[in-house]
Amino acid sequence: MKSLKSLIGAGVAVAMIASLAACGSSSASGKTELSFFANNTQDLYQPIIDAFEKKNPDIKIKFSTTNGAQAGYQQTLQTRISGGQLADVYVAPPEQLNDLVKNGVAKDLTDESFMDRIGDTNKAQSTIDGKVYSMSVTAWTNAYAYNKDLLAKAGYDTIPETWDEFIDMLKALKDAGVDKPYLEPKAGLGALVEGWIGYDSSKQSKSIDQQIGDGDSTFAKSYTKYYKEWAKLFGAGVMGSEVTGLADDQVRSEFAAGRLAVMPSGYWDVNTFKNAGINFAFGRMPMLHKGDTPFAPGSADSGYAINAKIDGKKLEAAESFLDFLSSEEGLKLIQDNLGLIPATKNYTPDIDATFTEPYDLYLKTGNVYLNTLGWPTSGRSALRAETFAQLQQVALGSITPAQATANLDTKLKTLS
Amino acid sequence: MISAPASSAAGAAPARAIGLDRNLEAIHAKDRKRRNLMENLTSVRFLLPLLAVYIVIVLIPFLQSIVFSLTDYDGYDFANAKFVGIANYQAIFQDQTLLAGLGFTLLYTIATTVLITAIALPLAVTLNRKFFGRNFARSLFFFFSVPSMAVLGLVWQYIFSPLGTGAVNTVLGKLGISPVPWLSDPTLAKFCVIFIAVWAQVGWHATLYLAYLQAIPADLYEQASVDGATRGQQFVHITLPQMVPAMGVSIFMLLTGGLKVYDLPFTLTTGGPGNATYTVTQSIIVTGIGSGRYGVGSALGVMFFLCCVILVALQQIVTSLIEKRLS
Amino acid sequence: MTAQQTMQQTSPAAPASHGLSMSQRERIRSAIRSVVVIAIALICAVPLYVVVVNTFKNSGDMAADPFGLPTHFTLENYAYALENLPVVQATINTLIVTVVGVFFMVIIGALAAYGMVQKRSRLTAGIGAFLMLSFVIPGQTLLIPQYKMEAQFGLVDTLLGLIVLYLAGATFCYFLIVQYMRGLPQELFEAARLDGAGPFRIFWQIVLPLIRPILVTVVVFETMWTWNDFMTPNIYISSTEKQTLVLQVFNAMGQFSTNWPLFMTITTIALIPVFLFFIFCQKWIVAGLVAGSVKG
Repeated sequence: MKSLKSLIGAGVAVAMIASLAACGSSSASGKTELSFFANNTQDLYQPIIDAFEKKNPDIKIKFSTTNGAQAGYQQTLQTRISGGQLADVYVAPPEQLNDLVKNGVAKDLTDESFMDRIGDTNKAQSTIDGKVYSMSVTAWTNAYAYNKDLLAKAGYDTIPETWDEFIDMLKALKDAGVDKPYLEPKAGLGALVEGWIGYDSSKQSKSIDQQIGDGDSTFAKSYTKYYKEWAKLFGAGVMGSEVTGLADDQVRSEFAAGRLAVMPSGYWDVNTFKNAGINFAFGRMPMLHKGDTPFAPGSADSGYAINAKIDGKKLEAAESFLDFLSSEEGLKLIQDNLGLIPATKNYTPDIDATFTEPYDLYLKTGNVYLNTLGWPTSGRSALRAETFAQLQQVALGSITPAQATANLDTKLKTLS
Repeated sequence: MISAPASSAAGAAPARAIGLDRNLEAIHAKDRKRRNLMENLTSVRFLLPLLAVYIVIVLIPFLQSIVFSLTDYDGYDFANAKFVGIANYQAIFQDQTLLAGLGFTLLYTIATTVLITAIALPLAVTLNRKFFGRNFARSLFFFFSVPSMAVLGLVWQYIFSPLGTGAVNTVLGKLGISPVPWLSDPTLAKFCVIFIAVWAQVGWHATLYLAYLQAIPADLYEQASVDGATRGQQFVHITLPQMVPAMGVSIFMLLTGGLKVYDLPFTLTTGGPGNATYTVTQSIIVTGIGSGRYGVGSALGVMFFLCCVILVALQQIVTSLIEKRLS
Repeated sequence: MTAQQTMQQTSPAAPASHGLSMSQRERIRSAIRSVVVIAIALICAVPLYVVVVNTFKNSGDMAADPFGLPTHFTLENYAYALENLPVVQATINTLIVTVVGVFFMVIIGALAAYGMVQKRSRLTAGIGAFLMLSFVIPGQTLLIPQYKMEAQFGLVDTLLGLIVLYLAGATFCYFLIVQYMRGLPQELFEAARLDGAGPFRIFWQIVLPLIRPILVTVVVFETMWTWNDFMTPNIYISSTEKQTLVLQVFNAMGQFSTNWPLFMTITTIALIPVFLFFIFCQKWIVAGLVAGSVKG
C-alpha cells in the first residue's frame, strides 16, 4: 500500500514537472507576440522570420507548423479552428478559403496597401464575392522534365509541341533502346489534360470544370475526349500499367538515376536533379493541336491570411508581417528558402536556367489551370483522388475512358 | 489433466488456499451476501480510474460524433451546423468506392488474422526453446517492424516496385524472370499489402504468445514426456489448449486492428491500383473528414462501429464456446 | 534448481530410441533451430537494414541504388541532424510524455484488470463488455471532439495534454492484463486475502509480480506506440520547444523535395532509445512468472 502510494506520488510529481515544463515559455518583455502557422518547416522559414524580426524589433514571431503533406496541413488547420486555436497569421490553402471565410476566420484584405503588389491571377484565386481574403505571392506550374542525353539518342533536343508528336518521340526513344521513355506517378496520372482543359476553357466565358461543378455539364460530356487522348500512351506501348503502382518518389528516382527520359515535374525538383548530376532541362507540356496556346496544370500557391479575430497591436503586427512578405526582400527570401516562384508586380525573380522555358510559357503569361478550383468546395480532394483511381483502372485496361468519366459523375453526385 | 494448474513450481501457496477454502464453506450465508456486496464495491473501486479515463477520452467524444453524424457539420464551427437527420447515412450507401473498401477491409482482416495466428504461435514456441542466438532472434522479430509505417511504406515500395529496378524484380531478373507488376496489379497489390501486414505484426503477436507460454506449468510437459508423448503430441495436447486464452486475445486484437486498418495500405498503395486496396477507414478520411464533410465522416464512423460490434461479438462468443469445451 | 530454471526446460526430449543420446539429439536440434530461425529473422529484417544503410548515403546515392552499401560512406546526415534540429529538447519531451504516459496507462489498466478478476458478477461483466467497445470505435471520428475538449481545458499545445490523450491506451493494457490474469491460478489471490492482506497490498505484492511477463509486454508495446506516435503531437503541439522526436522526423522532410536519407537518419536516431529499452526489457518477458509467485 505504502509503496503504491509513493509510486503514484512520484508519477504525479513527474506529471507536474511535465506540465510546468510545458508552461515554461510565456511571452516576455512587452514585445508583441505574433503566432504564425505555416505549411512548411521551421528551418526553411527561419531566415525569413529572422529578417522580419530584425526590421521590427518589437515583434516576436511564434512559429508553428505541421507535417509537410498538404492534406495534413488542411486537416490540422481545420481541427485547430474547431477548437478555437487559430494562429494570428496562417497559410490559407485555396481549397479551404471558402470554408475559412464562411466561418469568419479570414480577415478581408481587399483594401490593404500591400495587396496592390499582388498579380491578378493570384488575386482572383483568393477572391470571394469581390473581396480578397488571402495574400498569395507565389505560383506553381507543372512542366516536363527531360533527360537531354536520352532524348538525343532519338535525335530530339526538346519536347515537341503537340501530343501526337510527343507520342512519336516516345516511340522513337523506345526504339532507340530507352526502356522507360515516360512515366507518371500513380497519384498524378493524366495531369497534363488539365493544360488542355485550361486552353479550351480560356475560349469560354466559364471554365469547363466550373460548368461541371455548377451542373451545366458533366465529366462524361467534357472529359471523355481528353482521357481518350491520354490513354493513347498505353495503346502506343510507350507507358505501361506499372504506373498504377508507382509513387511520386519512385518516378523521381528513376529520372534522377538517368533511366527515365521524361516525367511531369516542377520547380521543386530542380535541386534534386542537379544533385543527381544528370543532363536535364524543363520543357513544355504538349498541346492537342498545333497552334494551341500552351497551358499547363498550375495555380497560385496558398496565400497568407490574417485571423479575423485579432485587433490592436497584434493586427498591426500581422499587417506589417504580410507587408514584409510581399516586399522585394521578403519575396527574395521566400524564393531562396522555400523554393517557390514569386508572382507579384513589384519583383522579377531570377529563375534557374533549366526552368526558363516553362516559366516564360506558363507563369509569366498566367496560362495555368487547376481543375479542382471549379468543383464544389466540399469534396474537392475526394473527387481529385477519385480521378486518379479511375485513370488507374483505365491504365489497367479494366475500364474505358468513357466509363471512367461516367464514374466520376456518379462520385460527384454522392459528394454534393 | 490440464485444468489442475498447480503442483511443484507454483504449488506452495495454492495448497494452503485449498485447505482454507473448506473452512470458508462453513461461513453463514448472510455473511456471504454482505461479503458479496463488499467485494463488488472493492472491484468497482479498482475499475474507477479506467472508467473515468474511458468515458472522458473516448466515450463522450464518440457520443459527440454521433451527434455530428446527424448534421452537416463541416469541421470548423459547430454553431454553423444544421440538423439533417439521416441524410448522411443515406449518402454513404450511394458511394460505390465504399463497397470496394468494405470488400478489401474484410479480406485483409480475415487473411491477416488467420496467417498471423498460424505463424506467430509456432514461432513463439520455437523462440521459447533453447538455441544459440535466441535473444538476438527474439529482438529482431519484435523490432524490425518498429520504425513508423511512413518510412517502412517507402522501403516496401522500393522492394515491391513493379519496375525492373525494384528489389524483388532485380532478384527475379537475375534468375531470368521478367518483372512482376507487384503493386500495379489489383490481385498482387492485395497480396503485397497483406504480406507486409503479416510481416509487420507477426513479431509482436509472437511476443504476446511468448508471455503466455511462461504461464504454462512446466510439470505438464514433464508428466507428458514421462508418459512418452512426442513433441508434436505435446504441442497439440498441452501447448495449444493452454494457449486458447492467448489466441482469444491475439485474434481479438487482429480483428479490431484489421477492421480499422488505414496506415499501411494508404502509404503503400493509396488504395490502388483503382480501388483494389481501398479500406473503409480511408473512406471515412477521404470522403468525410478530409473533405470538410465531418457529418458524413461521422456517419461512416458510426455505421462502421455497429458492423464491428457485431463481428467482434461473434468472435467473442466463438472463443468462449471453445474455451468452455476445452476446460 | 530454482523455479525459473524449471520453467525454461519446457521441452524435455522424447525417450531415446534411435541410437543417438538425448543430449546429442537436443544439440543437433538446437543448431538447426539457430540456423533456420536466425536466417528467417535476417531476411525479415531487410527493410530495417535498408533504413539504416541509407543513413550513410546522400540523396543521389540512395536514388541510384537504395539497397546497396554506400559508395561514398558519409556521416553527414548524422552531423546535420544533430546540429540543426533541436533533438535534445525533443528527446526530453518525448521521454516525459512516454514515461509518464505509459506509467499511468499501465497502472490504470492493471488496477482495473485486478478489480475485474477479483469478483465475477453481472456488474463487472457489463463493465467489461462496455470497455471492449473502445476497440471498435474508429479513432478518426474522435479527432475534433477530443481537440475541442482539450482546448476547453487549456491542454492544447502542452505535454500534459498529450499524456491525457495517451491514457486512452489504458483500455488496451487492461484488456491484455485481464485476460492473462484469468489464466492464472485464482487460489494465489484467495490465499493472500485470507491471510488478511488488504486489496492494495495484494495487488502490489502478489498480483504485479505474478503478471510480470504480460506487464512487460504491455509496457514495451505502449512505449513503442507512444514513442512513435505522430498523429497526436502533429495536431496538438504547435510550439517548437514542445515538439516530440517523431515530429522532428517528419519536419525533416520539406514539403516538396524529400530528403529521404536525412529522414531515415532521424528515424534511426529516434529509434535508438527504444531499441535499447527493448533489449533491456526483453529478458523480463520470459523470466517472470514463477520466480515472482514464489517470492510473493
